Parts: sequence; C-alpha cells; structure tokens
Amino acid sequence: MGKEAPSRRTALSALLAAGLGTALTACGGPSRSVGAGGTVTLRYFFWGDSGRAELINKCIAVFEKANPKIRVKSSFAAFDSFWPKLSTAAAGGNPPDVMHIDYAWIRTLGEHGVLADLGDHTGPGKEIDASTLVSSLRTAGMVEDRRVALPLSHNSVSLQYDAKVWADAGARPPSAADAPMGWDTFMEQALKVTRHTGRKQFGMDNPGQNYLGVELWMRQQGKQMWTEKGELGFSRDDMSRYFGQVDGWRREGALAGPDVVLESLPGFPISTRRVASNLEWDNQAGGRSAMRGSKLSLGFVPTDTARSGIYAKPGMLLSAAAKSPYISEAARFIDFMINDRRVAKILGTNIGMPPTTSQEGAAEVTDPAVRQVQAYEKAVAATLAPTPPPPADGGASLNVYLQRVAEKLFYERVSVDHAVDLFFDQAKVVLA
Amino acid sequence: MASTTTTDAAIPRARRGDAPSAEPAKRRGRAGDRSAYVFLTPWMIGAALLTIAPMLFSLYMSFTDYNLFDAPRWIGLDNYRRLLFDDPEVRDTVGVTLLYVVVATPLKLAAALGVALLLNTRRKGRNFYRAAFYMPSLIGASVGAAIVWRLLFSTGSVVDGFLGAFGVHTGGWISDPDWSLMSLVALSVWQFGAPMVIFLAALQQIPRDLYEAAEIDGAGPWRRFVSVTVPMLSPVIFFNLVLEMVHAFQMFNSAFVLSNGTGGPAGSTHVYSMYLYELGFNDFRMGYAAALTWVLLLVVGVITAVLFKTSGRWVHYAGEEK
Amino acid sequence: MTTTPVQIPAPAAAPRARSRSLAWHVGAVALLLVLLYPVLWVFTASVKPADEIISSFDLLPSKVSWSGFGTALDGIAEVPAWRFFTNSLILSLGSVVGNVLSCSIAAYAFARLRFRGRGPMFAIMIGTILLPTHLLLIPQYTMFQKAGLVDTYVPLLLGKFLATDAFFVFLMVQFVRNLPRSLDEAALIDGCGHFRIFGHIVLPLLRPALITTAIFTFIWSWNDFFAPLIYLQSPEKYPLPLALRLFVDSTSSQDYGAMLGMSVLSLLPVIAFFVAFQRLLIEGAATSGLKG
Repeated sequence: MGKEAPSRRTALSALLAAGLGTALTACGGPSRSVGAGGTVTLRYFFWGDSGRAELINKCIAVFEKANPKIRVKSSFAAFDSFWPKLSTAAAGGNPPDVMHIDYAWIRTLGEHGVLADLGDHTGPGKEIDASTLVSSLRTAGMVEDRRVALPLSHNSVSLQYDAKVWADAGARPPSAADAPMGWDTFMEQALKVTRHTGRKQFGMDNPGQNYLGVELWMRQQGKQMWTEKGELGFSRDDMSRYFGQVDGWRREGALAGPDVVLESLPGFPISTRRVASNLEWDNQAGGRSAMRGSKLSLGFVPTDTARSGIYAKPGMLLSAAAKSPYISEAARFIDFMINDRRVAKILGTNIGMPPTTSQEGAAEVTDPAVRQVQAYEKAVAATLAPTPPPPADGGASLNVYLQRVAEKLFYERVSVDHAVDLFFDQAKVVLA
Repeated sequence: MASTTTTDAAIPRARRGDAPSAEPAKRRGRAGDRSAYVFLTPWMIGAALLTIAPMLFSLYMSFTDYNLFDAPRWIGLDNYRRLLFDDPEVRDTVGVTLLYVVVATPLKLAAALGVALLLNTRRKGRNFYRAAFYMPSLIGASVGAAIVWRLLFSTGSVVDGFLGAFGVHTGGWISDPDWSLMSLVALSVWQFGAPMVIFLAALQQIPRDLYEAAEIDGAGPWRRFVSVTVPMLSPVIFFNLVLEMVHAFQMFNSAFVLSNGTGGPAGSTHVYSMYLYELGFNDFRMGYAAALTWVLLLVVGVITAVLFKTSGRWVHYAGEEK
Repeated sequence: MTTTPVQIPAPAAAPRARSRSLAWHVGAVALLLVLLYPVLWVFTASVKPADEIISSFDLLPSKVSWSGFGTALDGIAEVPAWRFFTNSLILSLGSVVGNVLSCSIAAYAFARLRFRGRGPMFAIMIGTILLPTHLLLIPQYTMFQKAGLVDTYVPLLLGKFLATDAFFVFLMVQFVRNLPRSLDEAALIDGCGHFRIFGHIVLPLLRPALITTAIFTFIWSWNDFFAPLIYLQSPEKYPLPLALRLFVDSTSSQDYGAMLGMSVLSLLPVIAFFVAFQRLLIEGAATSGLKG
C-alpha cells in the first residue's frame, strides 16, 4: 500500500509529461490533406446570430450539392467577438480559407498579406465573375491595386424615424431624395418632438457621437473620412465646425444628450424609445422597430449641399486566406455566394442588398421590413456615390476614440477646440 | 519508482534525528528535493509551456514593432518611452484603474468577510443562505448582468429612487462620468461570492477550542474576533487581498460589457486592460500592447512583493509556529 | 488518527436565544432581498415580452411570454440546445478534475517541502497570477495550432491538468500551511513517505479547499467565454456562453428574450452544482475539525 500511492502519482505526472511531449513534437501544423475521392474541405468563418447561421448553412448545402468535391465547414460568432477570433487565428498562421470581413479591416488584413489577391482568380474564364457587381460597388474590396475582398452585400445610411411620434408633435419629416431638408430646418422639426414629448423622446440621437454622422457630414461637404493612402480626409477646421454645430443642437434640445445613449442597451436609444429618429444603416430598421415596439420609417438624410453624402457601403465582404492551399476552391465558393440567385433567395436582405446584378430581384419579398429597405435603396440609387477608400490601419479604434472624445464634449468636460485637438493628437498616435 | 526508494531511504535518517520539530528538509537533503520535484512536475511543465514561454515571447515583443502578421522589428525602448511620456491614454487609463483598485478591493473584501461571519453559524437553513448569498456571483459579467446593471443604475431606476428617498440625488450612475466607475465597483462588490466562500472555508478550519479558551478568559465577541478570528483567518485574508487586488488591476470584462466596449461615458470606465485589449486586437500594435502588459506586471508585482514582505508581521500560519 | 470530530453543542432553546435567532433570520433575509433583486430581475425578465426587456424598470412583466425559452431551446443553426449544455458540462467537469488533482499536488510541495529553487519557483507561481491573460493568447494559440489541437478541448483543459490556474495552487498553499505540522511529522516518523502523507493526511484535511476549488473551477469554466471563442471552431463543440451571445449579435438581431431565456437555463446547472457542493463543504469542514 505504502508503495502504491507514490507510483500512481509518479505515473500520473509521467503520463501528463509524455502526452504533452508527443503533442508538441508532432509539430508541423495540422495536415490539410485532400480527403478520399479528392474532396477538399474549406474552413469558413462568418459573423451573425443564429438566424443568419441557419440561412448561410442553407446556402452551403446548395453549394456542396453543386460541387460534390468541395465541403464547407463553417464557424461563426457574434460580431463583437468575431474580430478577436479571426485575428488570433490569422496571427497564429491558421486563418480560415474563406472569411467574412468588415470594411474597416480590409486594409489592415490586406496590406499585411493575410488576404489572398483574388485578382488572379477574377475575370473571364476564371473562378470569380466580378463584372456583375453593381456599379457603385466596383471598387469595394480593392486595397490599392489588389482585390483582397468581394462585397457580399451593400447598405446605405438612412434616417430612421418614428413617423407617428413626429406627426403627433406636428413635425415635418424630411421628404424626397431630390428635395432634401437642410440640417437647420431638420433640427427645428426635431426640437418640436423633444418639446412635445417633454424630453421623454428627443428629436434625434446625436449623430456626432460616432463616425457614421461625422463621415456623412464630411462627405456632404465634399471631404471624406479616409483618403486613398489611409490618412484622415478632413481637417481640424472641418471637425470644429461639425462639433460646434451638433453641440449647439444638443444644447437646444433637438439632439439627445450622451446620457441617453449610455442608458440604452445596446447603445440604441431608438430601440428604447428615448429618441424619435437617428442615422442608421437602412437594413437595421426591421430589428430596431421590433425592439422599439413601433414601426420605424426610412427617410432621406438632411443635407446643406447638393451632395447626399450617402454611398454604397459593403455590409460584409468575402475574402480568401493568402496561405490557403485551396484558393481556387475558395474563389469558386465566393463567386457562388455573390452571383448565385439561389443564395440571394435564401439570404433575402439578412446581410443587406445583393451585391451583383445577377442576384438582383432574386428574392421574393414578402416581409414588409425588407420591402421598405428595397424601396429606400431604389429611391436613393441615383444619388449613391461609389464606395470610398477603406479606413486606415487602426481606423477601427480611432472610431472608438472619436466616440470617447465626442462624449467628453457633450458632457461639457472639454471645449470644441480641445475635443478636436484630442482627436487629432490620438490620430497621430494611432495612425503613425 | 525511484522516488519510492529515496523516500524510504530517507526515513531511517529521519528516525535518527532526535528533534521532531527541526526542519525535515535539512535532515533529508537531496531526497526531499527529489520528491518535491516529482510533486511539482505537472506544474513545472504547465508553467514553462503555457505561461513562461509565452511571457518571454511577450517580453521580446515589447521591444519590437509587431503587428501580428509581419516579422517583429526591433525598436529598443521606444514602446516604453512612448507609454511613459507620450501617450495621454495611458495616463487616463492608469488614473481610472488605480481609483477602481483602491475603492473596489477593500469594499469587496469587507462585504465578503462580513457575510462570511454572518453565515458562519449553525442556525437552521444555513445551506440555503450560503447558496443564496452566492447567487450574484454565479451570473458573472455576462450580458444578462450588464442589462440588469444598466437598468439598476439608470436615471429613474430603483437605485436612483432609493437614494433619492434619502435626499441623495445622483441621477443615473451608468451615464454620469463621475459615477459610472462606482457602478462597476458596485457590480464587483455585489459579486463577493468567491472571497466569501474562501473566508467561510477558513472559518470552518478554526478550532472551536480556541474560542472556548478565549471565552473562559472572559473575552467578549469583539475581543474573540480580534484575537482569535483575525489571526487565524490571516492567511486567507492575505490571499483574498492579493487576489482581489490583482483582479481589480486586471479588471476588463465588466467595463467592456457595461460600456459596449467604449469605456464610456467619456472614458470614465476606460481601464488599463481595456486599452491593452484595444491595442492588441483592434490596432494590432502587439509590441506596444506587450510593453503595456509588462509595465502592469511590474507595478502589480512590486505591490504584491511588498505585501508578501510585510505579511510576515500580520499573517499567522498555524502549521508554521516558530 | 489524531483527528477527532468536534461535538457541536446544540443551541439552548432558551427564549432569548430564540429571539436572537429570529433577528438573525430577519436580517439575513432583508440583506438577501436587496442582493437578489437583480438576480430575480433576470429571471422575471426572461418571461417578459421582447420590447419590455430593455426599456422597463419594472420587476414584473406586463404579461408572461415564454417565447424566449422556446427560441433558446430550439438551439442554433442545427445544433440542438442540449448539445451546448453537454459541452459546457464536459468542459467544466474536466476542469474540476484537472484543477483539483494538479493544484493540490503542487500546493503540497510548495507548502510543506523544502527544496532548492523553492523561493524563485514560488515567486514564478505567484507571478503567473498577475499576468493579464489576453496577451498570452496569441503565443499559446500558435503553439496549440502547430500541434494540431485547435478546435479540440485540449487547449481548454490541458492547462487545468498542469496546475496553470495558480490561483488555486496559491489558495491550497494557504490552507496547507495552516494545517498543524505535528500530524505529518508524526506520520514521517511512522515511516510514511511524502506521497502517503499527502494522500492520507493532507488531502483529507484539505477537503474544504478542494471543494472550494471544485466549486470555483466549475463556475468559472461554465462562464468562460474568451478561450472557447478563440479555440473552438465547430459550432457543435461550442459551450453555452458562446451560444448565448449568438442571440444578441449587434449586426443582425438582438433577441434579448432568447438570450435571457438561455441565461436562466444555463444558470440552473451551476446553481445545482453549487448547492450540492457547498453542502459538502460544510460537512467536510465539520468532520475534519482538528484539535489544535
């Protein structure tokens, strides 16, 4: 007995050590050998909720049926956690063969050799047909001269508003795309809502609190958020003007204070009935309406110039990994996702508007929320600008910083000029 | 097998030693070493592979410009220079983090010890109470907890109304840059379950006769607490203090989830670890993030070392009487 | 054996003791009500209609809706809900076994044995508690990836069997150091080696610390989100916390009803585990009571 106990424990340690040893000496990476009968398995990462996962799995089933030699194995996470998952895998030298990419990341991943240049697989007789892309999306997915991604969908910024609340307050919503309302006029109407509801609902959520509003306004002024080279496309003066304006509207009460956003989960006061309008991607209207418990209409964004400022934003893009041994198969899958009408039929507008003319009109639309988005997209199609250059390396965190600075301003902790200085100083650190 | 024979061999020597209170290792020399290393084998493998190697790699990274995808480029002390002198975000996040550590650690320990003492009883239903008091800690810093916390500390909520009834009008903590950090402190204190369980387990270890002896000596409840409970509990007080402090320094989840990843309002909950995370995973400035990690490690390490050094004065181990 | 169970005298049923006991219960319940209000809220919110969850301060729903639970139990993209529970259970129980075994062994050595390198090794062990884990992830991931172990449970469990949760090693060290040395010295003289002292004397006395470790390990692995997110790729291997977040993806939908429904369901096993084990904790402590 006295001799059993120690040997058992020694054995345990030895076992663990041996197990670990074999695990680590068997290095050289997991084998990606081609399966029986020449079957290739593509690993595929995307983000979304359970509903989207079901739709995408249906698309995969159709693809596998049409391409019996290719299997697609998907993995997914919610958007906020998708990025660390993908970037860790990429950093570990193990990116998936095919992945969904947000527009904010393509420069970062594209410039550092993570994403394959699909230019070699695009064109007549090649795997991907990109000639079908809707015209405003032609350049989306290009980083300098390399095609690192293909758009899977597009959305546009819209003005979401609760028509009933606006009507009750006697406020006039912005009317047509060809006769947009000026910002000052719009804010007068918004103020009516705030007054009518006794500040229970503000006219609008402050658009200066995130990059969406800043970018829209800069584009209306003929500037842009990011230049081709990945620098900020506007000056300190531009930002001072914009911050000065929105802060004035906030003081008047047309725009909600920052506390309203912070007390709403998950940061959408429109869903918690604390504001009656906001700037948002058009495909979000359905979801927000459901949480709000009343219908949201899609209106045209106010502008003081001849430019609407809105553009075709790729909602999601598809990329292949540069290191993937199966880039050709990956390219075939990407082509299937962007061009096959069955995909469009399955996805509807879950991801956004279909990216190609070959998929346009494929989905039978019965859902009124989807109809609404389609109607809006149709109405703004003429004013839609092409996709602007992607954000710089570090652009994603500069957006977070913009929000932090804007909050400091709207909490009246710093002046407009100080806020602008803080932002540009941080930009220098981040973009260096 | 080898260790079996060595321990067996060690025993006759131990028998020869006539002072049982003497340090066994001194008598047993190398043999003691051997069995200690056997006991420590799993830990040594784990620490070397899963912690020390990655740590050394991150130390190397901290002297480089490394974006995860290209080869690291050696830049010497640049990262350290920048974080010490040129980065306003470091200054801001250090301020927020220190405030959190100083407020949250003692409050959480006090709550945990208070409830543990309350529950260290033989009264009926103690099992129920122990489970019930642990409930808040089961929820963790989940999305569910974040929703509740937001609602609890919003303007016009239960907490606001309750404080208002006492004439304290703070409004919603969650949306007030001066109070938002306190709502995170409240969340941490509310989840006092882990140190409480540790305190309870230690309270059970205190021999009853010590209290009986103190009572015979005429000590009242307070006296018994100070002269029996506190010294007997001191190893776990020390343990909880170190751990809760370290956790407070590393606080990330609750700030991230409650502020939707922004550290808001106006950066008031933007803690150091969140900045680290942003640098590493959003900006891919891994080299710089590694330098920040090492500075954090150094600071917390020094504080912990000081705690260990001074612990000899107030921490009492029953198994190591002098 | 020198351990003797302590006889706990039953409290005298005098009227004064009874009123003190009543006051104790009243105080404890009052404190509990305050502390459990948010927990209660999570439970009641899970049966609220969708638009009430995030906008209403009220504890009680205006009408009861079970649709959140329905959606939660439907599972996610062909993976049934029970699968996530099973996965979480495997990971949590595996972690418990690993931590209890490996940390107690290491703790005994640190607390009881004198050996060369003890000081530095102890310092390293404490040092690993201080590390922010996020930053170790990438080198660790690279290692497991090279070994072909990504998308398995090995990266999530291996560390537990190798005592890398220094928190528990330190916890047990503190407990072992507080055990009277006279016991193992007597055993040493009786001819026991360290393995027997550990197995037959220290381990039984360590029971409260072991159970504490088991409880915490279970709960913490049950709630662990980040490591499974990074290492697991097949949805059918996901544990609950990963599944939970899929109901509130900020780019597609925010089904708080389903998320809270799943949260409540996922709380039940942890509550059960805690209730079962903390009972042991108290009994264990009562029977291992020592005569100093």
